[in-house]
Order: sequence, then structure tokens, then C-alpha cells
Amino acid sequence: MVQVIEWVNPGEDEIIWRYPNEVIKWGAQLIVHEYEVAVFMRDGKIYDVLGPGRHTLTTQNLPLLYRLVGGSNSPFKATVIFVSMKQFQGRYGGETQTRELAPVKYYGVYWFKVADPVLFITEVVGGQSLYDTADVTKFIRAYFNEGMMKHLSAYSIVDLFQNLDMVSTQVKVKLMEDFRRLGLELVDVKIEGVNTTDEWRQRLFWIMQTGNAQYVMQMDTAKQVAAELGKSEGAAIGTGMVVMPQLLQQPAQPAQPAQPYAGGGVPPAGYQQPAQPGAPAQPAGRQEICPYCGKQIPPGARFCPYCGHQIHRCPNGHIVPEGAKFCPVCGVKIE
Amino acid sequence: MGKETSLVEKLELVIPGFHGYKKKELIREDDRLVRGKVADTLALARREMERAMQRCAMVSCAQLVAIDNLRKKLMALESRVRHAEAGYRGYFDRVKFKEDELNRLLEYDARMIELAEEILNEVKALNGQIANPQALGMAVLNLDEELVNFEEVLGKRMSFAAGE
Ligand SMILES: [Zn+2]
Ligand SMILES: [Zn+2]
Repeated sequence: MVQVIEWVNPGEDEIIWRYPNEVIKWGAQLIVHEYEVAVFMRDGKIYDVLGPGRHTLTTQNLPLLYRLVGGSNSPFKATVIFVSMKQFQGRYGGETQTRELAPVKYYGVYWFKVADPVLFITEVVGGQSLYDTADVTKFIRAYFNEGMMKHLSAYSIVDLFQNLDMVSTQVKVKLMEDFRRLGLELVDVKIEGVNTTDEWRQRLFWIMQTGNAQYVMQMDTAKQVAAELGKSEGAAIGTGMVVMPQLLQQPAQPAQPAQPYAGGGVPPAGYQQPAQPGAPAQPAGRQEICPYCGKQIPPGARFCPYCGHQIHRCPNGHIVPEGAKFCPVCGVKIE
Repeated sequence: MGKETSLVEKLELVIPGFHGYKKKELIREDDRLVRGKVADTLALARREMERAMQRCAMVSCAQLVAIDNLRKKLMALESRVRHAEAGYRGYFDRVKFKEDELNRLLEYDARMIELAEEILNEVKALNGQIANPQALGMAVLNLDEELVNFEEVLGKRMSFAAGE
């Protein structure tokens, strides 16, 4: 009977599969499906690699192994590992700290695929002795999370909550490099949510309101900020929530965190957020309410500093419900 | 010696081993070679794109997200070319092409290769403009346009090859 080496019905999340029989006969049929690669290993070393197709194993298509077995035509020992070149999805989530040590939780999705099967096997499978898909998956997830934590911690809390698109793309670029070293291509990363503690949410609120991160950061607690600001401006102080029209009238100026947080860590080049060309200034004094938690948010905010939800807007800057096709305020179509 | 021959010659120059769909048993192989060449060029462009993103992230240029979107588009195209979808098969199983059919196929192939090269050049141009916001904006637009052009030609070749 002819030996058939084939990965039958790979599961959706299966990245690798090891052919269980390590004794291979010349003349065996190797079936490599589209989006697969078969890698021949022995003693942790990679010998031959075969791409998609139906191959009859001969001395010609396995030249390196043939040389290893001394040119004999008798069965030989080798590990055959199939690698899927399809795209995979992984979920992540974790906790880290921002540059100013604010605790941050985050979660989202990422997509990756094997770009260089030989490097991948060398670095991940062989290097970590992981022959099982579940182990490989776990390793990649842990590796991703570690990178995410490390890279996110280089940013300030204002950047994280106000410029999440930019931050996540910058973090993605860094993670892409990390992944490439494993023979993987990080296709995309999406941060679905970020969150922090109540105390830091309030602090963030004040940083965004006043545009003065340094001032806010000098206070021990957000409550103290509110009290201090309240004193000087004579604003009403409610239960935890303070409204100060004078300050709200001027647009928040978030892009100043560079100085107060400078020193320590690699600053993400303290970018000045361009003055949002598309977003017209909010009418002075108009209050906006987060549609998700009902709290008051800074004018033009793209994220709610309280619940972390993304605030969707029409091209004219009105807050619109998630998934809306038209703006309920001005009727403009939403992409 | 007509147009057909010169196109074959042109393709032979850039694709080692290409036979011009002349031998029945090598037609599929020729198709694979063409797609491989195009996909490899797009892969080079993608690598260059990723380099551009790294540089862009370093100087925090405002086009980072836009560039990333183009990268994703490019990746999708590369994958579509390399792993021709099911339904793409029928045509290449046919025994022989009629002359005008063959000519059309060769034209699509030549155009795909040409456009892939143009994409690569556009990406290089983009990478050279990271520090220059205005020129970078233009480069992003140009590249986007090239990608749209390529997608159109690819779509045509695919439906042609599916026998539509
Ligand atoms: Zn909210
Ligand atoms: Zn509107």
C-alpha cells in the first residue's frame, strides 16, 4: 500500500499539523493543499520544503534528506510538519500602564498569517518545541500580548483615549516587526476598547477639559483638581461631576502631553495632532453627552473619557448612533 | 510575426520559463508563472510599504493610517493574484486557445505586470516623501489610483480566464 501523507480537514484555527508517522518511504504520496506547505525536519533541523501539489517523494524532490540518509533507498526517519498559510484571527486583551503609570485595560482582535514557513518553524515550532497547534496558538497569543503591553505603555493616557486610531496603527507597525522575526505577517490589529479606572477617567476628563496635563497631573486626585479649579473659577461643584462653562468653551487641547511626561520611556515622538481638518469647531458652550453612559464629554471628543466608547460622528461633527446610515441631526450620509 | 509574438517575447523576458500558453500541458504552469511574477512584485511593494510605515510611525506623520489602509489593499490583491480563486480554473483546462483569445490573455498578463511594476515604483516614491507632508499626500493618492487600476485589470483577467 502506498503511504499517503496528507493533512486531512485542517480545523479552522490549526496553524500546524505534524504527520504522526515518522517513518517515511520513498514513493510515498505527499498531498499539499493550496495554502499549505510541507516541511521535512529531522533532529530539529529543517531539510526539504514542498509547496502545494501532489508529490511522489523521490530522491529528487527531497535532495537534502536523501543526502542525509546516505543515498539509501530504504525508509527513512523524518518529521513532516504541515504549515497553513491561511490568515488567522486571534483575540487579545490585557492590562498595562501608560507613560504616566495610569492603569489601562484593552482588548481587541488581530489577524496574522505565516509569511516564512521555514523561519516560523525554526523560531516557534522547533525553537519552542511546540508541535501542537494549541501550543503554537497559545505561544503566539502570549507573544502578541507581551508586545502590546510593552508598546502601549510608551503612550500617554490622553493619546490612548483621544488618538486611538493613530496609536493603534503605530503600535501595529512595531508589532509587525516583532512578528516578522517569527516568520509571521501581522496583517492587522484592531483595538476594540480601552478603559481605565474611575479616578483616571476623571483625571483624563480634566486634562481634556483644561488642556493642561501638567496642572492636572500635579494634583493627587481628580477630586482635588475639581476642587482647585472650582475655587479659582467659582464653578458649581456637584457630586463628582463638575461643569465649568468657561473652560468648556475653549476647545480641548490634548496634544501637549510631551513636556509633562517627558523623560523615561520612548516618547512616541510627541506628535502634534493636526487641527482635525475635517472636524468643524463645536459651537461654543454646547454640551455633548456620551450616548453610551450619559456623561458629559468634551466637545468633539472621539472617545468618551468615562466609558471609553468610541463616539461616532457625521462629517459635520454631530454625534450619531453606531451603525447609523444617516446623521439624525443634519441628514448627511455616513460612510 | 505579429503582435502576439512580440507580447510573448516581452513576457518571456520578465518571466523565466514562460511558454506563452502554447503547449497544452503547460498552460496551467504558464498561468501560475505569470501570477507568481505579479504576486512577487506586489510582495516587494508591500515590504516597501511596511518600511514606509515604520518611517512614518517614527516621525508620526499624519498619513500613517491612510498608508496602512493602502497596505491592506495591497495585501488583499497579492493574495488574490497568488492564490487564484476557484472558478478561475475552467479556462486553463481548455485544450487550445483561439488566436484572438490568446492575444487578449497575453495583453492582460502584460498589463498586470506593468501595473505591478508601477505600483512598486509608486510605493518607492511614497517612501521617499515621508518627511514631506504635501508630496506624501499626493503619493498616497497616486498609489491608491494605481491600486484601483490594477484591481480592474485583475478582475477582467479573472473573469476572462473563468470563461465569462
Ligand atoms: Zn461614555
Ligand atoms: Zn450631522
